Amino acid sequence: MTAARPAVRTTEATRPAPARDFQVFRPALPQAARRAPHRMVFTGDADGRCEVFTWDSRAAAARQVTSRPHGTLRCAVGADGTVWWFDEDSDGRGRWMLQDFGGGPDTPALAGLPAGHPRGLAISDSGTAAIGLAEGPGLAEEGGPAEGRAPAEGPGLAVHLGPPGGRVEHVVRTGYPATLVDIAPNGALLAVTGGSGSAHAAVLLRPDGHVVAALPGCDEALWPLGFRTAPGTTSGAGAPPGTPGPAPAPELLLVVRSGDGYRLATWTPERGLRRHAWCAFDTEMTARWYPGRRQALVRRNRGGRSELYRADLDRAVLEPLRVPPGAVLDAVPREDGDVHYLWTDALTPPVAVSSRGTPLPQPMADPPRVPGRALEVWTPGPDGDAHTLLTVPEGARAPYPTVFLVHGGPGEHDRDAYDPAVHSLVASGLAVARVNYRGSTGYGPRWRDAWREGVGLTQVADLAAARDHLVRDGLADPGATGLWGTSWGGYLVLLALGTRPELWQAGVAVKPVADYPMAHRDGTPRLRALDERLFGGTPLQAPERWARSSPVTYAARVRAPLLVVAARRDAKCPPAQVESYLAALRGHGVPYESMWLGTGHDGLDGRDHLKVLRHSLVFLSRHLNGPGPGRNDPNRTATTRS
Amino acid sequence: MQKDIIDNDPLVEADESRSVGVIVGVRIPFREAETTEEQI
Repeated sequence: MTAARPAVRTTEATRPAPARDFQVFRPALPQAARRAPHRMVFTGDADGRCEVFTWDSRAAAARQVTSRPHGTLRCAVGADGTVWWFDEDSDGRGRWMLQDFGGGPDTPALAGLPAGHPRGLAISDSGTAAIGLAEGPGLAEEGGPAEGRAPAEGPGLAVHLGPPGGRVEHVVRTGYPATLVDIAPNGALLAVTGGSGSAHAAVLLRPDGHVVAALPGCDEALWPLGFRTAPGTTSGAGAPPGTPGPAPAPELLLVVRSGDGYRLATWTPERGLRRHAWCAFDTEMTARWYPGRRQALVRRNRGGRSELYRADLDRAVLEPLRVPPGAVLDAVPREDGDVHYLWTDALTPPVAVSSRGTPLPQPMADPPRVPGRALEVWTPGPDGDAHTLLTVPEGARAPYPTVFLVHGGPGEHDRDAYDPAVHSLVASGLAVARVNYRGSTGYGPRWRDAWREGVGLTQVADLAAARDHLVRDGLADPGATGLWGTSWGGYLVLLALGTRPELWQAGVAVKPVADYPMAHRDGTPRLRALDERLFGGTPLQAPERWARSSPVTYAARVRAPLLVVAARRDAKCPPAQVESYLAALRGHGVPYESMWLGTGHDGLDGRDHLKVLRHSLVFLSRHLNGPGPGRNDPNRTATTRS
Repeated sequence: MQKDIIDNDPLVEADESRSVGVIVGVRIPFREAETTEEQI
């Protein structure tokens, strides 16, 4: 690249970017009230922030429930349509609140409930609310966390039980980090998980704390998904339609990973865990009960695309449901057989669809199509072919300046799905490659477990191989390839820039892991456990492996222009370890740009995301396209590049 | 029963993953050529 390298430059993003034509959305469908399914609750856009809304599908009308300076993310709906929303502070601590579906004052969901980090919420048909909160010393610090360290979560889960709007009647504590999954319809059992691969993958507890069953995930990972619900009554006894009938015996739905695939499973107190071999797939799947039926809606991803099935557990039959080619980001079955799903592909922003035509709120109003073409590339490698979703700009000629947009996780994958970063890059004349490197989900257990070159280094090898493939095929310009990743994707960007500096002409790392041992020290218990599984030990037990995979080790070798974006209240990729990395860059005389946000890892205010998106886009475009209008921008009138 | 979104399944493991769950959608894409210094 011939663009001048920047000096160290820091932007403190204390003022939000000016509002523009954008929206935030969470890729999740509305939840419907059990006794009044036309009453729904969802998180949607309010002036660029996430806020909670009601949706009345009979009137196709929305009402904004919350309005807080930094947005509101978490919500649920009671059986009658009561809105539940989580009133959290900037560290993510807070309390659940209630509001009538039609509006009115907000009241505490349970009196006597302390503020805490949310770890699940479930409401039984019998009227018991179960509220999971993380607890422990880390959460009781007065005045917030120590300087430079993100707020930590405590070691245990506390499940507070009581009638909605009443007082806390019982508290169940686990003593280990966990999340509440569900409460049985009769209120007699709780399901919690300490993580799919942990010793506490699925634990069934009574409200008095007695452990009925503890299913470990050490040999075969388990994901508890929820209890079967009672069918709604439709007549008799004066009950309104949809009123739950007699509660069924507790039956928990799970996904089990075993051998080469994933399969549906159920657990009951009488029969324990049953694996359903007739509902098995070679790639990742999830499932939800149809309300009131012994059927589950199964969503399975393969090769970046989604499939839906109805699994009938009484008949052991799996029936495919038709969805267009693309990705289904969420899918929810209804008691009447309706299926709601959130569909997208690489060029089309998400749309909410009902199989029976129920009006649903749409994630985006008048969404524009991405001005590009979608291609796919499979690159051979030692553990199989790595899949790359490639989007190239319309009206431009290959080879394209190309940005490798790197997903996080690593237990995630890029889908044939809309991404606003792809949208803006393609509109600026750049191609975007999304590589589902080894360790990604969506390609089966073997792909997920293929880490032969080491943590991060395996994935960097796949990014480099995909780059070589695109260059060889004349699609990517070898003199203009950049990287952009967030979270664990940001980590891979930094590692790639340090270990393969000759390949990349620019890099943007957003909220990355930059000093891995330090990120482990300051991270959440669940992420510390994940890291220790990946590395086969703690930083003290395996220091060489941790150092070999840590970007800070290679800080002196970074050559490409680099932008690092970090967040002051980030619990997953804490700020102190980013500071450590930037100090190493400065110590070696390596220039960089940095930008600091006052948010946590997610950030509910779209203006922060917008500022990062815009800053990153301009940074990459200028370094890959050269200054001024992009050379591949279809609307460009002159072809110049410095 | 009703539940909060907990992102715990083989497709989305938010608590055990370093990834971001909130998405910004753009109605009009940001073109580098049209972005001013004030906006960044």
